[in-house]
Amino acid sequence: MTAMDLQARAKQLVKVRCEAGLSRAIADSFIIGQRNLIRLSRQPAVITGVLVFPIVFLTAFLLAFERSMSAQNIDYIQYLVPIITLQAMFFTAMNSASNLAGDIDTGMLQRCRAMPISRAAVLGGLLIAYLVRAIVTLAILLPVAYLYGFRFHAGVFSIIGYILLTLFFTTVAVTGYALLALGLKKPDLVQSLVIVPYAPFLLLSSGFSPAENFPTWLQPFVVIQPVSHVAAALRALADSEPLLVPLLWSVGWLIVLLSGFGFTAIWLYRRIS
Amino acid sequence: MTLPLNAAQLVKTRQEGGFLRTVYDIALVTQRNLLLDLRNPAVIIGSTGFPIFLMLVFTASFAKVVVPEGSYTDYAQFLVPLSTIQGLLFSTINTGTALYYDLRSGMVSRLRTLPIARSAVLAGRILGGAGRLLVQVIFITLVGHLIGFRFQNGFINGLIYLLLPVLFTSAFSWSAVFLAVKAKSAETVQAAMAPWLLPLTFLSIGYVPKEGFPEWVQGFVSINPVSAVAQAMRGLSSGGPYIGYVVQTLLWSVALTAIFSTLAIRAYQKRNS
Repeated sequence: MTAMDLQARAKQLVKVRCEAGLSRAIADSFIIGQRNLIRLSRQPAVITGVLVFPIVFLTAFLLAFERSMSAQNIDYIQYLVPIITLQAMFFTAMNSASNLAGDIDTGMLQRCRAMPISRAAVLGGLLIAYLVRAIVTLAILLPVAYLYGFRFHAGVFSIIGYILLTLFFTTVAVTGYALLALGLKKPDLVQSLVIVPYAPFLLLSSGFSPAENFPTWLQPFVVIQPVSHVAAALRALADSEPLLVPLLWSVGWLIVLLSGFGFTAIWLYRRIS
Repeated sequence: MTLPLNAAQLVKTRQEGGFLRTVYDIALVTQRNLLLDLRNPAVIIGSTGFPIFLMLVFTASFAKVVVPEGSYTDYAQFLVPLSTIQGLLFSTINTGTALYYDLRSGMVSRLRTLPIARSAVLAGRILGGAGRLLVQVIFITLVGHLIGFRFQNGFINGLIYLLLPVLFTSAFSWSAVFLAVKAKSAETVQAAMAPWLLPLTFLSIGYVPKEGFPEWVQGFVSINPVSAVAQAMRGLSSGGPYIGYVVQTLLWSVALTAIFSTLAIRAYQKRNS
């Protein structure tokens, strides 16, 4: 048999077994996603991370700061829920990084590469699983927030917008944290460094306390960074306030970040062998 | 030289029992734990860096909320004691996970086969933890000094200020030790500790004065041991009454030690490995 024949046969085989193509890539991603979800449902730390953490943070901040904030004419429950949502998404993404690093460490990633599945499936499956986790978190957090007095003042569309923007944010965060796992590869190292992006971006934002409360020299960073903008957009969605400016800022930031993170992630993923 | 005739004589000759020998064994295991920490500075830096960062962020973002007329320095003077105790309480999780890894890796089984005091494993863990806590207190206080925290109450009180939280947290870390002995994975220790550390530290007279809380939480805030420690440390550093709070802290420490050391030792004895 000549080389040409072999090549033709291989192509035929791939075609018969439908190993390529977009629909196959999506199907593969869902299988890997399902595998990640099964694993997530068996980790006790995940259960507390999803169920308990966001609610404990919401309650603690609300009780500790509601009175002081109302002195500044801020309805703190409306102000606080968006940043608690984003914090929960940060925790979600941090967990995705340590699980991905675990997969690299144990050889699961190499196993996946040896199989006839789409190359995008590992990262796609990771994203799918953690988006499902994000939805579950929202489904728990938002009703509790409602009990505490949080309201969507602009009806059902604002709820849908709130959820979509949160999920977009989660996508960016999971992709960004995947860089950390793909770059460092060691679960212990990843575990101890996940806090590094979290701390400045989430805490030095106008999410917990308005930017004017920060020292003057810090305010430019607080105002310009993406988490502040996304939190402001979520707040505008819930309060039915002017939406266009914060929404444009946050979507712009998220698109820029997603393309940057995405390309770097693919590049790093290809380099791992 | 005549050989000892029976086990009792053997023990006596080799001085394997008795109080002094127990103290010596505990010191030896403590030294081993401290050496491990010393050769792994990343762990201490990580677990100290985060509370320091939290302290800086909270000073930056909430100073104007909690003390509207005051400066950042005023809030720092108020906040540093709580940040210290919060940082220490969270590092009890490390004490727990370190013990868990010792149990899993067989280190504890090895120690059990050695002719050393049975209490040395757990007590050495607590004391080694105390050494680490002391380092952390000093670091946090130094950074606190940079943002305007000062000892205004004399040298002796300053010294008590440094030791009191170490004592309280060491007592508290018995609960982490208990959980570690019971736990089936390292994440379990973390997942079980965090949900009650958060309310304990947030719902205390730490970030905000008692009047900042809604009335129905004020009861809990007052009896919360963390409030007592924070108040005692505040009195010791800034002046004001503190004897009562110091006594309360000591009583809490004794109570926590009594309850959780009993539970931990009992669980440890029941453990097979």
